[in-house]
Amino acid sequence: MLRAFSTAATGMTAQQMTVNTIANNLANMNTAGFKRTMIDFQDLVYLRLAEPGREIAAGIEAPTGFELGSGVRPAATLKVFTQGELENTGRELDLAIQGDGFFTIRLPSGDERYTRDGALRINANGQIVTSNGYVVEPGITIPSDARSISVGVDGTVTVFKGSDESGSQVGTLTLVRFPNPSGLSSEGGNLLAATPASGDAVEGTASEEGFGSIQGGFLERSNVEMVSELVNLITAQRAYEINSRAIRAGDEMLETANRLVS
Amino acid sequence: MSTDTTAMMAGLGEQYLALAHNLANVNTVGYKRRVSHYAAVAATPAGTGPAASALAGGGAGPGRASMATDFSQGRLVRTGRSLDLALSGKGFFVLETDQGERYTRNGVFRVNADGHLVDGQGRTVAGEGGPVTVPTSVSPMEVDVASDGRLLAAGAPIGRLRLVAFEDVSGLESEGFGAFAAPNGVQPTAATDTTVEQGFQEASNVDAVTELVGLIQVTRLYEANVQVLMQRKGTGQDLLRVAMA
Repeated sequence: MLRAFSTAATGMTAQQMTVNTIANNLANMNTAGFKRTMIDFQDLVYLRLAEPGREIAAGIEAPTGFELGSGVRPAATLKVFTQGELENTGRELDLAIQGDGFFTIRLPSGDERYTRDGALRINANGQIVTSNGYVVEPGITIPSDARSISVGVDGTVTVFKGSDESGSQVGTLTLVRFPNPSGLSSEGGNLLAATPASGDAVEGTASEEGFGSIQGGFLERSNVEMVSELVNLITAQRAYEINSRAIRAGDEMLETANRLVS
Repeated sequence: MSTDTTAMMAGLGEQYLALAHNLANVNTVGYKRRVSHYAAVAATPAGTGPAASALAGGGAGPGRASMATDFSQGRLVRTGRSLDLALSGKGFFVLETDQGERYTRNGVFRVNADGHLVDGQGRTVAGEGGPVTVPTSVSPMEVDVASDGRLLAAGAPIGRLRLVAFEDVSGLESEGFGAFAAPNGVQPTAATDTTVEQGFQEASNVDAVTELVGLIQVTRLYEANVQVLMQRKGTGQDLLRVAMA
């Protein structure tokens, strides 16, 4: 009976984790390029008290065994990389990726990180950077006398100076993709890092070979859907409640048994 | 007679454990609830009070009965994730492990770094002709799965999921981690009446209300058995056995 307490406790822990994950999703409802996370649960190992096919009486075999489960455990968190809605901001350096792909970010340490948050800026040196100030690969510098900037669907960055109507290209933003984007690790600050599970980044040109296109003047909204998150939240909360109810029921049974010896 | 009562109480303890396990898995994708034999005993109106212990003695015999898995369909919940696959029907996905084939209803899959389709534990999902490989040039988001299990990566066929069914599912052994193993010598057949729904997860088939009702029944039956023991002024050994159960 005491074992069932820990079984029910695994259920409560699991629901607690679901609530935490949903809270994080909801908190990031308005974070550009954010991808919602979900948890994949699996049942825990079973204790086999009796094998199926054992003889229960002369010549009679039990058709089923007797297995007792020991609860649930979270197997993995999964980032869901469905497309977020594109929101028109009109800002020329707000870039949204429509389709598959990530921008590559170079940290001051030299490491690469990846993001779909395309709210980009220009720093004091004229480089295109993220809102945190990290350089966006391949490190494009915008001339200081540029009047306006335009980014094409294939990532080409064109600047217009003075009365120049045709503009001049100053570089091309590249995109990367992963065999298993769900395996990327979240580093906070809208950044993702490659892991052995995600596979190596494959670099390519936007709008080509399965890469998404870059939409200037748009931001990709978070793909968190409030209604479905709230529904999941209620489900998790109720599941938490009934698991605590299981503990209470077990407690009552133990209490009853205790009456025997008192 | 009091041996029957303590056996019944031990059985109720195990049934309680099974109910707690079901409730812990109320949100586990592809989970199939466990039903113990005692549930059937408890459900009969006569199964209250001292009569319950008589039932344990006459029906199941002292000691534990059997635990079966209820393989009924869970409802399908839409997630929109391309590699969330739910089965509608009686079939299973096949997982390849070092210990042999395992069978699951949890179709929350992903692609590993080698491009193979794997489950949450990293076990390879079997296709009709070996593991299914998604070309690295194709995003998992561009994988389409037809209802018969055929997979298309950006429009090009890359294989077909192996879906199997068992004539008698009652012999399947729960392995934990969402997987079932077939008993020795039992070979599955190709599933005929099973369709794959892409972008859906099959919810656990645990119905919280049913399990809670079960919990109440178990608690009350347990109480009733304690009453029986008290009335019969059970020996010290009986008390000890109950306390240890």
